[in-house]
Amino acid sequence: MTHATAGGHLKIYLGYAPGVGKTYQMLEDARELKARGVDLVIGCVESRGRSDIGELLEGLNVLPLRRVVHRGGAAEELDVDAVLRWGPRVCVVDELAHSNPPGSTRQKRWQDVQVLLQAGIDVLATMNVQHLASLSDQIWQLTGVRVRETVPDWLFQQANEVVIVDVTPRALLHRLERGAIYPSDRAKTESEAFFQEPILVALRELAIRQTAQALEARQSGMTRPPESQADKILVNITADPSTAMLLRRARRVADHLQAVCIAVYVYSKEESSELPAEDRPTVERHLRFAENLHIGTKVIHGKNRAQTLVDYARKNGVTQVFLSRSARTLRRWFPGLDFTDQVLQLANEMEVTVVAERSRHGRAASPYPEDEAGALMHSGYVRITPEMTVEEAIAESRQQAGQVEMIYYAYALDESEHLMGVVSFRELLSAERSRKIREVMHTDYVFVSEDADQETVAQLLAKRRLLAVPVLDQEGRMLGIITSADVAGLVQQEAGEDILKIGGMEALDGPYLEVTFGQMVRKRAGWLAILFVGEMLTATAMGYFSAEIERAVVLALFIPLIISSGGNSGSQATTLVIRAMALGEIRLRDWWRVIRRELAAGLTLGTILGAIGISRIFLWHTLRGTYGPHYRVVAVTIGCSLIGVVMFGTTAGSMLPFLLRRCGLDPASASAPFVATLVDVTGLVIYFSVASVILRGILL
Amino acid sequence: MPGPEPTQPNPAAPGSTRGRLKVFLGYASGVGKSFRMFDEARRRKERGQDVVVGALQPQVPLEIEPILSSLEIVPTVDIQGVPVIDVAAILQRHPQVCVVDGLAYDNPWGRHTHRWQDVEELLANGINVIGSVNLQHIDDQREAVEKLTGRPVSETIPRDFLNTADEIVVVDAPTEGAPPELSALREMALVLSADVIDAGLQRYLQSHDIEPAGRTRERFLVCLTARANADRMIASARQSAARFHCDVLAVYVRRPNSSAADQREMEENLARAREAGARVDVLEADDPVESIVQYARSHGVTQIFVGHSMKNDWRARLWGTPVSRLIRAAEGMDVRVFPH
Repeated sequence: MTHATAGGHLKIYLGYAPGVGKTYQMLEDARELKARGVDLVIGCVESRGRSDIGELLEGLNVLPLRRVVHRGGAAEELDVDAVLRWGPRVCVVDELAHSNPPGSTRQKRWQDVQVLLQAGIDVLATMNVQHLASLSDQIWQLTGVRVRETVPDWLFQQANEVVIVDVTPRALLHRLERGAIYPSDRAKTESEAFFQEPILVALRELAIRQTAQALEARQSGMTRPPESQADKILVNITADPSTAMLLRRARRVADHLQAVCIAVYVYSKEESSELPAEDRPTVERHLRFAENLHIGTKVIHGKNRAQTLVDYARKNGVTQVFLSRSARTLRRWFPGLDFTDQVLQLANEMEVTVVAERSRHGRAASPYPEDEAGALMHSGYVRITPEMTVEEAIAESRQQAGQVEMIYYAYALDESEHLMGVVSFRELLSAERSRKIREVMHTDYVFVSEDADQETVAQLLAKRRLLAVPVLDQEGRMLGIITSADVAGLVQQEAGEDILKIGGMEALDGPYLEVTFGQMVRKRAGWLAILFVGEMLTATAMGYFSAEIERAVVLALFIPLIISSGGNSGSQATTLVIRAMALGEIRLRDWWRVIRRELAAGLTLGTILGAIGISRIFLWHTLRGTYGPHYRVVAVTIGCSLIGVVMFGTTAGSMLPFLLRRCGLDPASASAPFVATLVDVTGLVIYFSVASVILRGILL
Repeated sequence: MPGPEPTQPNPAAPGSTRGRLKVFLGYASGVGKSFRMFDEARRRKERGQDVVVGALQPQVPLEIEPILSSLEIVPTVDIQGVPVIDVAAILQRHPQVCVVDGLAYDNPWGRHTHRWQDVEELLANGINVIGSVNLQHIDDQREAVEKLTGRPVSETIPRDFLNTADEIVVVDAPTEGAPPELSALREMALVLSADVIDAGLQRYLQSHDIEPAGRTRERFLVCLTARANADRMIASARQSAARFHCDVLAVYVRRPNSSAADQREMEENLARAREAGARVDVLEADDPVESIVQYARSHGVTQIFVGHSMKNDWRARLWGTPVSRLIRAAEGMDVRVFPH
């Protein structure tokens, strides 16, 4: 077992929720050390206003904190230099996972701790199990919370001692009720997702298991096999977002098996001699992430990716390969050609683990929590209260101006940080000085939640033409703001485009009434022309059947009826299927179920329409005698044709979106008119074919 | 008057007036388990709960004496030199909480043959019990602990009874610098308490009809076939199980048309899996992939172990093998494919 350094020992007090008593127990141990005459300093302990912590600190050497001023305000942080100057035997540091404010030498507190350890100082530190980097996906699955501040697993494993600070969830909830944990409302909601009994129970179980594993690792570390006999795990990196989760998972398994772990990205050489440009940023990010987890990385290329990967694995004595499931590819028709399958076939002497994507209530995990809105947000905004007058608010804003990054809006908060309203500075400056903010602020403001993804925020800002948007928690408390500058470059297609395509148009570039007439005509004419040309095929088809039409003119009477029924049923089916696809109710592999349903629906709907058609012919004939002596046969022809045409319409209409998606096109462009055109032409063919079979020798 | 003797611990039905059982688990004497327990008893009393002590260890540690002086004690009855809980007296006194230091005692004579059954009766009568027990006194841990310490243990409580605990507290003290056996015991105690917590969590989820969103515990499923390299899969599952501290299940899908030779081979594989401590189930189905995935889903499996497919002809290359079908179907689970 390699330890953090030759110098300092690291002892971690592991808990599973705020309030289990980590800091308390750590300080009790610190006092005992101090009593034994050990030179001990308190590097940083957050008392959070708790008197019991304050009492324990008395008599200990509490070093002053380093005051950091940043754009979001001021913060007090561990002063590493001060600790090093003192040069104690032991230093006490609370909350290993804490992130230092921007502009600090080191981003994370655990990095500060590393510096202390390297200087030969022993460190007592606290953390919660949910802050362990590799547990991120599991914690999210359990709680729905993406923990952003994490401690890498290798640091945890290098700890010389791990003590679990254990209290039963019930006792913890009692403490919470008695108010022994949090003095402020604000901090309480931050952990609300954790403070439910079953979740606390699960987290506690994880913390205990983690402690047991740390022990196991230390014990088996004493009898560790030589490196040559150790398992060697290869992780296949792809541009897919699931790679992040794959890396975390492989890291965990490697730690348990004490295996060596490498991450390999393979690209096909034919693509280019460099990394494929479109995947480059994502792949590089995965590679960086792997390095952070202390997984070695390698980029290789070859003609066939699977073959290259397996050859590399074989040459390097890899015993286990980790892959994610192949993305839904065009190769679904031939699953044997999938990358995963190819690797399985080629690497049949290795263990291959195909790792599942973790999801919570059907929602996939975001690969990096830093992709969520919460990661972009900052707290540098102007805060006012609804009760201020405009004059006071302006004075207040002037005072805060130095600390905030962006001044477009002022946010009116109540005493418990609920966002009551928003007022822009233009409004503020032009409002009457004596009015209350309450009267001038907007209460119908737009906001986002902390876990919204960044792209959504970007779209929102672009669509509403906002310069900044507030981020609120579930209770409506203000957490921070995200400015349009923060999301620049993230803006992509606007929502609503899908719906426009169903109508057989391209998206207009702006709101309907603001697009110029010329632009609108241009956008619409293109589609209409294409559909028009397609519809011309009906003329060709009718030309082919002109002989039949000449002999039985009565057939021509029903052409519009037949083809429009087909078109209508087709567009109906298309719209239903696209909607279901967009909502994620059906996927590509469901095509067979859909086609069966639609065939049955077509038959039923066709029979209904056919029955109505036949009744109408019978009725009109009885009343007026319009359709000649063979009206019965004509009626049967119409009925049968309707069944055929409607069945074709529903199947074609429902399958077109699948076909387009399989070809990698957006199914929404399988616009209803497109289906209608297709069904019109084939509908004619069906109609006349049925007619020629039934009416041969009678009318034809 | 002998009371009804519970032979099987029955978990609390929701809404019943059964008492809550809280267990302090130690892994060696001297870790301070009794102190933690009596300290809690004292705090409960201070908060106004009606607490009595139902049983004490023969030698009361010095640090506990001051606490004891503030607590009411219902003395144990001495039967052939063994202290036996006076269940009748406690039931009559009917406190809110009864403290039992040392759950693993056998009664030479009396209402019940084991002390845990006395506790069970108290619980059934709505009395909350706080008890303490050491790792070596849990029946399924005894053997392993004896191996480590070399000291035989005679009295145990059933693991199923421990699993019914509403709360379990592992009394932990770091073992840095202590002999390796002590670390091993500490690890066993931690894993045991995690498992007891898990049993409670599953009970809670079931009684509240909640579908667990995530798993706290790994569970492996080994898919056996006549030709699979069962030894390697089982060995690997066992090794991982030891490291991950998780369960191993095994299934075999019986096809309607399997040959006699295959059948024999299979029986041997199954026997080996059972020997290795895996729970083995035999499924009857035409479509092994479908039935395995269904089984895995209903048993909360996190990882499926399966052998590489032997097929490697052009059809497999184009359409994929049963293994690739399994991988596609087993959404949400890892699939680990083993060589032959």
